[in-house]
Amino acid sequence: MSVKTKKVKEMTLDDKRVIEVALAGNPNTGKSTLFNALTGLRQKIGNWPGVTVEKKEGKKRCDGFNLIITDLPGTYSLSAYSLDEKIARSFIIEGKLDVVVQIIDASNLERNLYLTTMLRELGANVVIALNMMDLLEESSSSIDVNKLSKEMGVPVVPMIASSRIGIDDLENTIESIYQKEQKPIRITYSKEIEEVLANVQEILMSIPSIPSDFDSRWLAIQIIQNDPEILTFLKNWNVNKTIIEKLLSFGREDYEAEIIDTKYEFITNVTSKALKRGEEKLTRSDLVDKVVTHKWLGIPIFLIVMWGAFQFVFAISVPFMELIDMLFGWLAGLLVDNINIGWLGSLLGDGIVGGLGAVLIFVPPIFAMFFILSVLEDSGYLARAAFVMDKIMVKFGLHGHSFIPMLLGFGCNVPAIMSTRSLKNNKDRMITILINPFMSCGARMPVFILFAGLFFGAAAGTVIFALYILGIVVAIFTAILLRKTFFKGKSAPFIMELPPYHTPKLRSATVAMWDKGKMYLKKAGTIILIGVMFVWFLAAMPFGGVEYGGPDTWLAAVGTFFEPIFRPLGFDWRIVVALIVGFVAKELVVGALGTIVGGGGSEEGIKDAILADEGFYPLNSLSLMVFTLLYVPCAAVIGVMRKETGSWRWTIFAVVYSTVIAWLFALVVFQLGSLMNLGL
Amino acid sequence: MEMLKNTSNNMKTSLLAGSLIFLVVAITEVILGAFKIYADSKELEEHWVNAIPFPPGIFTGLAILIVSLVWLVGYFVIKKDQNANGYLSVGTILALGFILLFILILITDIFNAYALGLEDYENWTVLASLRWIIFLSPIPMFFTIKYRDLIFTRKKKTSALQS
Ligand SMILES: Nc1nc2c(ncn2[C@@H]2O[C@H](COP(=O)(O)OP(=O)(O)O)[C@@H](O)[C@H]2O)c(=O)[nH]1
Ligand SMILES: [Mg+2]
Repeated sequence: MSVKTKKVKEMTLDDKRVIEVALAGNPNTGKSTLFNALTGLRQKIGNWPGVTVEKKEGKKRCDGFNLIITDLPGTYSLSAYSLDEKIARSFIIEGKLDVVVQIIDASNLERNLYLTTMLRELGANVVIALNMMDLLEESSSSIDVNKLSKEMGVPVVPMIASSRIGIDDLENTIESIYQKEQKPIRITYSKEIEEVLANVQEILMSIPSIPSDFDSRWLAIQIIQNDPEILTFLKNWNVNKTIIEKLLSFGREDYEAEIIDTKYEFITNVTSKALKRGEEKLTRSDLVDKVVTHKWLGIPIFLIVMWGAFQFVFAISVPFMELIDMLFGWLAGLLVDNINIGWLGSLLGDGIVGGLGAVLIFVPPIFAMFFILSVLEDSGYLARAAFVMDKIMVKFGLHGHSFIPMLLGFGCNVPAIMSTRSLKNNKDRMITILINPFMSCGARMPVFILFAGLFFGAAAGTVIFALYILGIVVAIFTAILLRKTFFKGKSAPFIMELPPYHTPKLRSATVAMWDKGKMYLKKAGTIILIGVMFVWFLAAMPFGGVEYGGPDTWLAAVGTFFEPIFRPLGFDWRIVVALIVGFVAKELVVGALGTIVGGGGSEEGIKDAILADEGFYPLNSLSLMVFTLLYVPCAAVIGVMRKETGSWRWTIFAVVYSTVIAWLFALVVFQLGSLMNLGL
Repeated sequence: MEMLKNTSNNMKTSLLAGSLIFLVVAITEVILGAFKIYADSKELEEHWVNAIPFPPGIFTGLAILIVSLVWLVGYFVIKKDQNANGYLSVGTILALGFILLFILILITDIFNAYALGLEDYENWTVLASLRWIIFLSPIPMFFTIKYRDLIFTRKKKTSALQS
């Protein structure tokens, strides 16, 4: 193991010794805080686990030596199941490290020591930075630092990183131990396992190509647990194929569980000696957590919070939408009055101002949506919501971590699908990617707001809320289906660090709103503008004589061709055309409708045009909204799905499946509605 | 000890009273809301429900119902001699959040009705939006003043849950 080979490095920054240090630890224990305190850099300190995904490096000059410090992503263990664990582990194995500083949250000793046992088994030269001593004190527990140090066989430095207390001690300790050989702790496993380990080790010893700094016991332990990365190691060392097979045949699934259990027994023994628990004093955050993650209350609370969020979005955006609308109406009027060249007036009035106005009017609700989501995230509530949802998700064959990508999907499905990288299990991940498009992204909102507002009046907010719920239901249904068919198996257990509650800051919510909303504006200026002009072009062709957007245009030809498929859903060719261009981007649905039905560039105009039009009525607008909700969000999502699943087959599956599902649900809505004769 | 007991008794009464008052408001709204939906779907314009000067909101009723339930569970938690501060806080913060929301809605409604003169607001009265604020305000306000330290102290603490 490279961490054990201690070559004194003389090549230095300013002729001083260089000590290479890595900061490891569970998420949210203060690694980045310590890193910043040591290096004076500004790593982002997040209130969400998984903020530090890559490793960062910094330097620090001390008396007589220099430190090179690497901030690793937070991990609970060093198995090779997730990307962040792999990054941390391979860095510790391969980096020429002198010391690994493990930051431990003192108020959570037991869970944190699990990683310590793994680091020590790996043979790393460990210093424990016992952080958050202030919180420990607050909970009136205490830790006997000397006993802990003796039991774990490593130095322990108590500290409060956020107040820069204990930093000097840590530096000195690092210096004092970096040349000392630490004896790896040896956790003794059951007799059976020890025998298997001995056998494996014997084989390993006979392979000359294994680098001497790899501890053979550690390798043996990984092999019998079926560690997925070991095969790569063995191949890299050119180990003979039959020997590899023989080694791998020692792996058994139940060994892993047993090894974990034994480690926890070891830890319990350590904490029984070193940790004195104060009387359970619940903090405010614990008390609040109890309520928002309550068995029965958790989900209703989540639902009313989301409902409130939608009410907020609707209330705040209406006046702004009206104002934007007036502006575009005025602009369109100006154009029509002043341009006398027929086709140009049509392009500018019907095409650009009409189409673009129809899109830009939705800037207020989309911004409001991003705003409220980021307020909820900032407050710390969303992480609790994820926890509440996990219990349900597991029942549906999903994973608690799937919830965050699903929630992000309400903003935009593209980053949401990318965020599935934090899922450990590949099956969990595939399912989460494939269901994500059913989470209604911001771009679908315009269609909902237009039609719900037009035909459902005061109930508009509720209708939109119901659509979002429908999206979630279909996603869950799909997840169950996939789990039962293509992705059989159990999902990985869910552990999630809950960030502290904050009073949300207006500023950071505004910044987040602008950052994300900007994308929508950009899209409006590029792809949507082009799309709208393209639709105008088709709606005006063939030149001369045809009524713009009328039944004799090329546009109508395309729509009419597909219309039979959609007639059972209550759609005429114009809706069909809008939905087809919606494959490129959902914003185009309203944009295209704006161009087709006309209305002089203002929302009010489009609304009046739609209301006056017999082709649009409450029931088919409902099935239109359902269809829009469920079919492929946009071309960008198709691209990112291909990239993240690594498979065209699954991408095409997702596109076809969602379109079929959309068609079926819209059909049911329309046919059932017609049958029940709701007067819609 | 005696003082502690008193505080907890106090809070017990507060939670129960708050919960019951919200329960009455919630159930009234839900029932009236259900009648309204029925009347609308059958197009019964003469129905008595339409005589109420504001449209009842079934969903708002449900939201209030949940706040009421949070407090109610809190009441039973205190009865078992356990700490119910979380229930008090969460219920109150939810209610305050809704009050803020309704104030916002009131402001935008007034703007929409008078400044923009939107058609949808022809039959709208200030009372329709104001009533929620009137119904909802007193109890959470009272709780906020009385238990401010329990609801609004700030402490940094990360906690973890495991499934
Ligand atoms: N009370 C307390 N909070 C701390 C301490 N050290 C860090 N924190 C806080 O813990 C949170 C997580 O810190 P961060 O450095 O991002 O953790 P990381 O995920 O391990 O990198 C932040 O809110 C810090 O301000 C400490 O010693 N005491
Ligand atoms: Mg960090």
